[in-house]
Amino acid sequence: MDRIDRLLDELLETGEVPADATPDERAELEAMVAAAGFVRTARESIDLESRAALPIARARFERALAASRRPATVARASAASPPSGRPARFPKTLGLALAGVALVFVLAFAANRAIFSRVDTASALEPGDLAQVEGVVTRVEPAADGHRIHVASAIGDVVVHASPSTSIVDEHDVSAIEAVRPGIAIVISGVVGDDRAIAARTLALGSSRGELPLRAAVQRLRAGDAGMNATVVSFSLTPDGTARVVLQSATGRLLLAVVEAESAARLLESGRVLGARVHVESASAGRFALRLLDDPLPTPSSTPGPEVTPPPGRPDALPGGLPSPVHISGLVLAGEPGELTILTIRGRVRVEVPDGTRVVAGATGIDITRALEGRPLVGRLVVVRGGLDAETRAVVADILVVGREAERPTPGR
Amino acid sequence: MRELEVEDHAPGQSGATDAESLARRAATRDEAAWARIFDDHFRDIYAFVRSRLRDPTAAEDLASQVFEVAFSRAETFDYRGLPIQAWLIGIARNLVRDHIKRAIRRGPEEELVETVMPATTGDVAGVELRTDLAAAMRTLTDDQQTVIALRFLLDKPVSETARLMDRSEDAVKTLQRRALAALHRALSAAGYTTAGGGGGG
Repeated sequence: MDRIDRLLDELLETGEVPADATPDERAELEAMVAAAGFVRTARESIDLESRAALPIARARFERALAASRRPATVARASAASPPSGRPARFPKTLGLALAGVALVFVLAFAANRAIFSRVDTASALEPGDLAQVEGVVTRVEPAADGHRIHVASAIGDVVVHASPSTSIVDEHDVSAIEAVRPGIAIVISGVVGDDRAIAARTLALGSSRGELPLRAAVQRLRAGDAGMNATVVSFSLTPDGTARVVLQSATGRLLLAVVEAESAARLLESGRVLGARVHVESASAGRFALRLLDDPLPTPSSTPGPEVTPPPGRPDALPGGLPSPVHISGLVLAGEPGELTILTIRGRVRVEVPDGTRVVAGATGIDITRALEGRPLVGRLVVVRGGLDAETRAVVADILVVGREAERPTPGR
Repeated sequence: MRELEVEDHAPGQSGATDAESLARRAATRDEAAWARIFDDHFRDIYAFVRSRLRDPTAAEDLASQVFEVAFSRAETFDYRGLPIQAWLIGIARNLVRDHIKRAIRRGPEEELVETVMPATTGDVAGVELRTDLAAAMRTLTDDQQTVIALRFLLDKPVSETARLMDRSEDAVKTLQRRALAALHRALSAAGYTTAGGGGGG
């Protein structure tokens, strides 16, 4: 392998021209990467084409499968018929063959519906949802109001708009847009727009390169699928408090479930959302309930923390290296509009609650508008998912889950 | 629905087991398995074929044929470390080669048919780029076009590209460098300034 091959490979891996490249090599490398960029640009329009082509191509493939199931008697008749496009030599035989084929097609179509009816593609991202999606950054480009980030996720390619107000965190602390590079694992938390791009509120970065996820069409989960175990691939809170959850089955299929509000709240409270293993249970009105199979992360209701402020950086404990939004849970000590003080396992944490924060009140009976005033939450256990303020290091809430009232834990144990 | 229960979930092993299970079912012409294979791979196979053909209708036709041919030869698929997609891409490469040979035999008019999709993209600059990119791609060798499609259209890592092309990783790295250099030359000749940015034209 030549030196230039090695340099190009490094550049494609890291997104940065290797420091040891000479000026001539740098120019050559940049030209080659730009050529690759043209190809990647074309992929978007090819994707549009493939989406448009898919239904017809699938129907054609269904017909091919149906044709393969013809009974032997009909197969013999078909085999006796001339190749398509040529005139029939024996009209009587052809008529019988066509009748047989037509019958088989009807039967095959009916049988095929049973198979392909499950291939009911569905969009995992709907406008207005607050979505949390995991993936790998494939491209970052400047945009008028920040940056446009392309992310390959299991549910497809996702376009993300990062603005100056987007919180970017890594596993330790606040990070910056410069750290968002092709190849890095990322979790996006943001609001889905009409174009199904996500306006990011928080971007959580992994500490290492992510693996490109296996892609599959997202199919709609059906009532008959209840009872299966699956893994949460994406999680979107809808404006009505239910959740649109994409689950990956053991066989790799992606299934979209509308999950009742109570289950959504429990999943959020557990601290395990993306990647959580769940058991799917049927609920009412086409909705599903999810039961967590993993242990929830510890909460202060069982382990009260001291009333000290955690050191700068993330106030939550993280599994190593994987991207994750900041997740804290605790007792609200003080609240005012836009700000809460929460006592967590690690101590007292200040939380900013900006406009647009999704409040999940569950069965608490708390009015969401009043909850945002802060004071009604004092004395309640809450869960917050979000990012960090780059200047103050306060937690910035994307989602606020309101729980039950609790006794204030004894401080300073 | 037939679903395997998730018990001791080990992502790496379970992924391989799932793929193997799917491949075994595919080999027996299990139609549910083929429905899933179609949905999992159509997009990539279409993109791969489309990168080689200017006509989207022909690309759609060929991409569909890939699955029909694969299904018809299902019992010949030997799952021993060979991903299903590698098999599908191999079939796609052969179908594309045959299609191009036939088009060449039919004469230049056939090759000159240009049916990009301005109505779909609504972006004239994008259409021009696609047209010029397609022309530039045609100046590359078959292997160079394949490595470009796998690495930059399908986002395959070097290791997977090497498996799909039955080459060493070093050979793929060399091939991709030569392919990108050739593509850059062709795009420059078409008037694109490719240094320092990939999105313009």
